[in-house]
Amino acid sequence: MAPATGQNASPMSDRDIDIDLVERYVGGDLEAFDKLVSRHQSRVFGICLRMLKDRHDAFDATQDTFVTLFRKADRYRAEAAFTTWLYRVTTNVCYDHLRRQQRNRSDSMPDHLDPADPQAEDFYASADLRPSIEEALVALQPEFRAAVILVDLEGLALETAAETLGVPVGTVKSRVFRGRKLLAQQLGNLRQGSTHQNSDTPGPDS
Amino acid sequence: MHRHDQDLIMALAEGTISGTAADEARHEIESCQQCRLDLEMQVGARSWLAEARPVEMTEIETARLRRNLDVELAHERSPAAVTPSKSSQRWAKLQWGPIVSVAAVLIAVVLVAPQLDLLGGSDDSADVAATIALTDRADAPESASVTEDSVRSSDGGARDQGATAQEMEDLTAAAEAPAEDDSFFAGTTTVAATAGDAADGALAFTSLTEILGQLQAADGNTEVASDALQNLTYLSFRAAVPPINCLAESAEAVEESLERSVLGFVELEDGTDAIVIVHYGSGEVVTAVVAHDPATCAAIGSVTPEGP
Repeated sequence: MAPATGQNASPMSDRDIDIDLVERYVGGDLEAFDKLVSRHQSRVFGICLRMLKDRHDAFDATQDTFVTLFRKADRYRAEAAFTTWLYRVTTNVCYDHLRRQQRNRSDSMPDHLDPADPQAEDFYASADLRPSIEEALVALQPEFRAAVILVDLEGLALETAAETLGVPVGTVKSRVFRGRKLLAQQLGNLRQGSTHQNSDTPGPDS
Repeated sequence: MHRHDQDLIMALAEGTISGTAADEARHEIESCQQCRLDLEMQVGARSWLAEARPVEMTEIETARLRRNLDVELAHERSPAAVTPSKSSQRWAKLQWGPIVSVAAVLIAVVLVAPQLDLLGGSDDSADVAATIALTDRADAPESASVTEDSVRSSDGGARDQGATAQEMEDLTAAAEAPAEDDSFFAGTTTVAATAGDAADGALAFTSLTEILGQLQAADGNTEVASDALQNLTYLSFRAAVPPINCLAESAEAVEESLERSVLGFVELEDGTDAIVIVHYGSGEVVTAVVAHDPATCAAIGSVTPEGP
């Protein structure tokens, strides 16, 4: 798809721009890949940070996501929005990292050697991921967390989130509903009825 | 709770229904204590989430991501781009002098510049140079192949700490610039270099001789020296292909090699591609420059500096 040019050409939508960039990259244009990264790195990183809590893990997951992108871009089919495919890759990479975190939980050694980034530390302290909020999000089961992040923080429609997560819309709706409920309980900013404390502890799709 | 109730509560909390439908939904929920509490929680959680600020990568993280992806991309694409050496005899005819000179000057600038305040009064540039060069110390565990993690530790290790955000931005800008775009080298300096075709991972180092000449001519000109150093190290980093960086093989090829550094993935003057590794001995003196076949990592040529 050629970029829109000329006075009468309608501007390309974000979706069309993404598809154009993917096609160009698959055709060998490395600059197109750079542009894809620039366009999406913030949101991918945001999803990863909120999913994984740890900034270094989030960075690694972001990198893994884009490595997957450049290795498998030719598998993308333009029927779905590129972002749907990208966020699906992102959440899958995050699930992999969470499984790895689970396995390495007993290992007290840090798994990264990157130096401290003062800017990142300041941001971390002052941003929305204040400890209580961060803990509340991270305390959610990954399936609930992913649904809440995609729908409430990334603004995806339920249908898009369902496609991204590979589950039915009803399942996403249920996960978002219960995820929000657990968040509200965890944050303690609403009254908590003791009769409801344990009503959402079963698995995400029970 | 019935799904019907859940849908109504979510619709009310999200404001996706209004008018009569909303009134009816509220009326239905009013009679259910659990539903009222759930609605309160949905609204409360949404309100809190709406206040969340977008998460951004820092400039350093962005630059690091781009560098790492550059390396990964170069690795992915290198097998097709690499043309193995056809005859080791050609190496006997190579002009090794310029390569040794480039390596020696690079090392000298990295080691001496911070002390002479050559790089703008801080050792940040030197840190960047050290960061970018993939090195292999003799006292460190040897690794036959460099994995993704070790790439991170090499290019983002402790020596990265001194790199400023501006330097990282510069590197990122260079990564984003088209190969033939020399704007990265523009400004008050006249340093020029051709990055070659970044897509095939090989760089023509013939232009480095020119940079070297200008670096020497700069003789204390901080801006020129700093830019030239950054260009050299950036090109060298971008050219290095870690998974086939041949450091382990090179260690075996040179006796008494204490430390090794990948100079780059070099296209030599006769058009042959090679991974060139600089060896240092005691006192960080260059002891050898070894060329390796990019496909097999076999040492296919070497040169040692002439004695004093």
